[in-house]
Order: sequence, then structure tokens, then C-alpha cells
Amino acid sequence: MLPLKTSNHDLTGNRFQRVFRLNLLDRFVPLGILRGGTGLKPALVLLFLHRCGGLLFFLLIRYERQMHRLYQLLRRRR
Amino acid sequence: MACTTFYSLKKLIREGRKRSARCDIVSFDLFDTLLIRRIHDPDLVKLPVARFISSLAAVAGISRSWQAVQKLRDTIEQRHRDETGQTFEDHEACYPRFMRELLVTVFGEQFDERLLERVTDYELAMENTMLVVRQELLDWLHELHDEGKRLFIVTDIYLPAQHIRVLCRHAGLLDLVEDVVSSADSFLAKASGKAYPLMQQRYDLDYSSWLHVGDNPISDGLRPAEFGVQAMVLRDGTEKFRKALVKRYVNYGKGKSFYRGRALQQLMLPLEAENVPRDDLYIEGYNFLGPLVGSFVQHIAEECRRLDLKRVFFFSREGYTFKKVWEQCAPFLFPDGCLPRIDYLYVSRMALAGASCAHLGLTRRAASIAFLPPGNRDFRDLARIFKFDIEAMTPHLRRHRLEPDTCLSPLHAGYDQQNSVHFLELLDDEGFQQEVRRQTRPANDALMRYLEEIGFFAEKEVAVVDIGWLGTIQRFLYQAVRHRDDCPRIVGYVFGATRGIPFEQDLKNSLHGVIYDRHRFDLGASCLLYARDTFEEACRAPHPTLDGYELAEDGYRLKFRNCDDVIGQAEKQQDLYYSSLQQGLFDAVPRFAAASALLGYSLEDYRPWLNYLLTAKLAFPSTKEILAIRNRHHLDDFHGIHQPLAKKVGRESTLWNRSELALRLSPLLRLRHFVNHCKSIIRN
Repeated sequence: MLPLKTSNHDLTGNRFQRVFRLNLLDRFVPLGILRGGTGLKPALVLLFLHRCGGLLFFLLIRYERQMHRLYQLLRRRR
Repeated sequence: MACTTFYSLKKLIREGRKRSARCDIVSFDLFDTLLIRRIHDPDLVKLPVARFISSLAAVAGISRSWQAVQKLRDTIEQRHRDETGQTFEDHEACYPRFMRELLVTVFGEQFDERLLERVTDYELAMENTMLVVRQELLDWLHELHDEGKRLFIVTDIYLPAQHIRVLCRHAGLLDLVEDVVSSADSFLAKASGKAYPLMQQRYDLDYSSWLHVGDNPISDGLRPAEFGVQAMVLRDGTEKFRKALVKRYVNYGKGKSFYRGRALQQLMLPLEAENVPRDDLYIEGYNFLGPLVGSFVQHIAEECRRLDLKRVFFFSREGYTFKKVWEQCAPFLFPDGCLPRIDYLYVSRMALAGASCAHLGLTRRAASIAFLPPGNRDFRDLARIFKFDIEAMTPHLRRHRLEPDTCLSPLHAGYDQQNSVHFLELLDDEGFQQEVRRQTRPANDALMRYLEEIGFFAEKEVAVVDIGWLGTIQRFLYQAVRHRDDCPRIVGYVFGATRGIPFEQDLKNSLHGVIYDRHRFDLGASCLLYARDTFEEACRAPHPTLDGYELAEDGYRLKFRNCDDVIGQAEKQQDLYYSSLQQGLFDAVPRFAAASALLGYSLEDYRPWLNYLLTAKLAFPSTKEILAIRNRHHLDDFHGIHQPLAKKVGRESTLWNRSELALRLSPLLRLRHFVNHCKSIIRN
């Protein structure tokens, strides 16, 4: 017995790793109309977020003001 | 100690319990404190409301796109905020005022108060679908209430307190609090700090004995602390994480259509106390079947609106599930109510087979359908299906050198090609066909009485909905009714159209496969064919199949199959086994409807994701999934009891019939099956 949502906010029984794997298989064996699939960059971002988001936001929320200052600095520099 | 920030809800509540022991008053912020949102951006709730207003305007003969309505709303709301800002420190707006102005602008003289009520009710209903109460805070609220503390909810939002109370009542909060305070009523908000003195005066509160809990460091932290109110601010990293994911999925979905269905499922996920452990079948019903069936029904409703169809008939027994899904989806997806009338039609292949022969006789196509199941061998099987009296038919058979037990199927021992030739001659024999028509006429008359009573002939066009797969029920139904002048045009929608036997479409009868249609090449959707029985069993109604229509003194009688035999008992067992799968599906549907209404997408947007779901779950499932989902029993009332020759039927087994050992150990099993599946789809 498992809950419908995993602890990293993913779908039980259909986690994003599975989505990524199948999309990877689609590159070699056409699986159907997926209309471009996940795309590599969005897939990697989401994989990272699902996997490491818990720790990432644990840190981000505590240092939000500092991160925001850094973000503004980087934006100005760009 | 005036303002403390907490990064964990548990720690906040622990500390809150200590502090509240010394306080008489505890106030809470509402949004993102007591209630969390499924979506990352609260403004997204305005979009379905804009669509609702646009559709109401269209009904009133006014053409306004929903984007124009939303833009107008934003403009009016901003103007109201600017006007408020001239007198008050907080630039607040009040929902009834700006919404009334919006509706008057759009509808002009056709505006009335009932319109404002409908729009408000829909917006609050949509808000409620997206709000979830934080269970731990609710439990703490109960404790505080039992301790006799004075509890308040105070929020900065454009909704006045009377509307906020609707949200609080839905969340189970209203009975616990003394009152709800909204900045929309007084234009004094927490952001400027003005809300706190207002509350202090109104309710005679003591600042020194007051604890406030919220999520905003300024409105819920700094501002109350300025008055000596103890403030506790929750900065929840988990919530930010969850919303960041939702935001990614929704934003990626704008550019890549693959993510639209995934964003839909992310919004459907249960939160807080909703997210309890469930068994495997429930999870599959919720996460797999829910979006599929929901999208199917949404598409049918959209098509019916587009084609202006006034009646929809859901064919038993799978139509039972589709009808239930329709009833749950309609209030959210189509709040204007402009939907056809829906009915459940008691039909089945067995019941309609005989009735369909009353005017056209036994056609070659009907006979070939009857011989599709490999267990059907001879004329006795035909007689069983079409309810012929064999004794009366025997002279006609003998005239064409046939006996009732002459093998007519090439899959069985004793078959001779000449038998098929004689059989085709029999079908061309007018005497035989007259006998067929005579014998099946009473069933057809009973069917006509039933259809007349249910209003099948009342409209010029009707939609019919079924699971699939050859469209046999619709085919037989059309054959049974086409002789009538008032026969409606039948537009059929099936979950999957395999079209193994060509479906004769004409001006009055058409069939469309929604999720899968053989006429529309789609490898992903074709994975449906891996486990058709599973879908039938999952969607089936909890009543026996219909066996036939009989004339009665007062009209007609529906004859249902007897459930006391071995097959009936097996079916009941299967129903019991799949009950949690069905429950998962029914629990998913309201969340599907709310999420789909919010996102504004339709089946074509979800199709890439649904194709992925079908491919992943049916073509590349895990062993555990196959063992859990595959059905134990499946009733096919068409199927005879004869055993076909093994060499004719072949020993090929499908992926879903393989043993557990093969599923676990056989290398590249799924890929091999998928390649074979692709070959058969492309070649056929």
C-alpha cells in the first residue's frame, strides 16, 4: 500500500524517471505520437527537481533573501 | 520574541501550543497557511471563470473571447485598486463590485443579479477544488477551539468575508472560528498593518494576549509585531518545492504539449490528509484510468456541443461508468449547462442481435460477427446468439445441405469450404430470411417500445457512447431501427475502434474512436489492444448483462442474464476484485474535471501524455502491474463452448497472458511483443 503522491511530489507508479526512460527508448524505437516528448533540458530539470528538490528548497527557503540578492545581482550583470 | 520564523510546520505547532497556553486569542492567515493551493499561481483560477463568462455571453448572443473577458477583468480590478489606493493605504478591491462592473460591461442590458450569483458560485467552487486544508493546523485549531480560545481567520484578498466563509465552510474551518475578516470589506489589510487595530476595536481584543500565525514575513510577521501581537511565520520549503514542480509542469506544457497531461495529473494529486496509502489497483484506477476516461468523456461532451446534439445515450454496461464520469465532470468543465440530456440505454450484443434481424434478416456481416469468437462453430451458435428456433430453421438448412451441427467455422474440426458456400446460399434464400424475420419480430417490437419510452426517436440526431471495439452494439441497433421514418442520425463514440469488421458508415450512422481509432494511425494509442478486456472489466456496471427484449402485456420487458451460474459467479468475483480500481477511477474524476477546467486543455492537448500512459502501462508494464491489473475473469456472452483446433488458433500468447516467470525472466520480452504489435498494426 502506497500513497498516490510520493514524498517528492511525483506520481506513484509513474515516476518521472519512468517517463524519461520511455522517452529515451522512443529515440530508438518509435513508440507513438508523443509530439516531441519531454525534451532533454526540461526532462533533466524535472529529474533533478524531483530527486533533489527536497534538499534544494530546504536550503533555499532559509537563505531566500541572500539568494534573491544574488539573483538580482546576476540579473543586473546580464 | 514578537515575530518568529519557522521552517517546519511541526516546530511551529509545537511552539504554538506553548505560546497559545498564555494567550486568549489566536488568529490565522488563510491562504498558504490554513489552506494550501494545488496550483502555484492563484490567478489561474480566474481563467475558467473568464471562459464561463465568455460562454454565457455566447448563449446571450454576445461575442467576447475569454481572453478579452480576462483582460477586462484585470483592467477593472486594477482601476478599483487605484481608486481605493487614493483613500486607503492598501490598494484593495472588492470582488462583488468589480465583478458586477465586468458583467454589466459584457452583458449590458442583459445583466441581472442572478448572473453575478452564478459567476460568483462558480468562482468559489473552482477555488474550493484547488484548496486543501493543512491537516496538522486543522487538528491544532480543534484543540484551541476545545480549550475555549477566541479564534479568527484574517486574510488579505479581494473576496469579502461572506465569500471567504464559503471557502472556510468547505474546508471545515468555519465552525471553529469566531469570525472571518477580509480586507475586501474594509480595505484595511494586514499588509499595511491596519487590519490589526480594526480587529482589536471590532472584537475588543487584547494585543498582549494575541497570537497570530501566517506565512508572510511582513503582513503576518512584522505588522502584528508592531502592535505587540506575538507573530509566528511559517516558511515552508516543502510547499515551495511542490509549487515549483507544478509551475514547471504548467509552464513547460505551454510550449511542449507532452507536459500538458502531466501537468493535469500533477494538479490531480491528493495533498495533506487526502494522500493516504492505497492499494495497487486503486492507484492504477486513479493515476492511469482516471485521466484516460476523463479525457474521453470531456471530448464527447465537447463534440456534442460542437455538433449541437441534444441527446446522448450511454450503452450498458460500460456506459454506466462513462455516464457517472460525465455527471461528475459537467459542473466544472461546462458550468454554463449547455450540454445534451444524457440517458443510460440497456442494450447488449446478445439482446440486439435477434432484434436487428427483424427487418433486414440475417446479413452476411452479422453472421461473420457471430463467428468471430473462436468458440462458435455451427448454426447452433448462431441460433443461440440470434435466438432462432432451430427446429423451425432445420428444413431451410437441409434445403441447402446443412445441418444445425454442420461446422461453419474454419477454426474447428470437420470444416469444409463447401459448408461456407452452402451457408452463403442459405443467407440468400428468401424463405430462410422470411423465417428469420418472423422469429425475431417480437424482439424488435419490444425493443421499439423500449426505445420509444426512453425517447430515442424524439430527436433528429443522437450520440451513443460505448467502450468499443467493433461497434457491434451500434451496428445492431441501427439495423434494428433504420426502417423507421423517425430513425435519428446516430453518431457513435467509442473508447477504442478496432474496426476488425468494417463498420458501414452512412449519413445516418457513424462511428468514431476517441482514444484509439484504427482509421487514425497512432502506435501509442494502439497499445489499448494489449488489454481490451481490462478496460471492459474496469468500466463495467454492477448489474448483469442484458439478454433480450420481450413483449409484455403492458409494453415490454428487459430480460437480464441469470447470475447464479458459474459464469455469473465468476463475474461477481471479478467485480469484487476490480472494485478498488473503479473506486480510484471515480475518485480521480472530480479532480480531473477541476484541473482540466483550470488548465483549459482538451483531449488533443492531453493525447501525447495519454499515448505515453498507454505505452508505459500496457506495452512496457512492470511485472507487478500486470499481475495486479490483469483481469481474472471476462464474460463474453457471444462466445460458444466449442474448442477450436490448436493449430488454427495458434499458441501465440499476449504479453498480458504470460506467466509470472516469463514476465520476470524472459529477456526483452516487452520490446519483442511491442515490435510484433507494431508489425501487426502496420500490416493490418
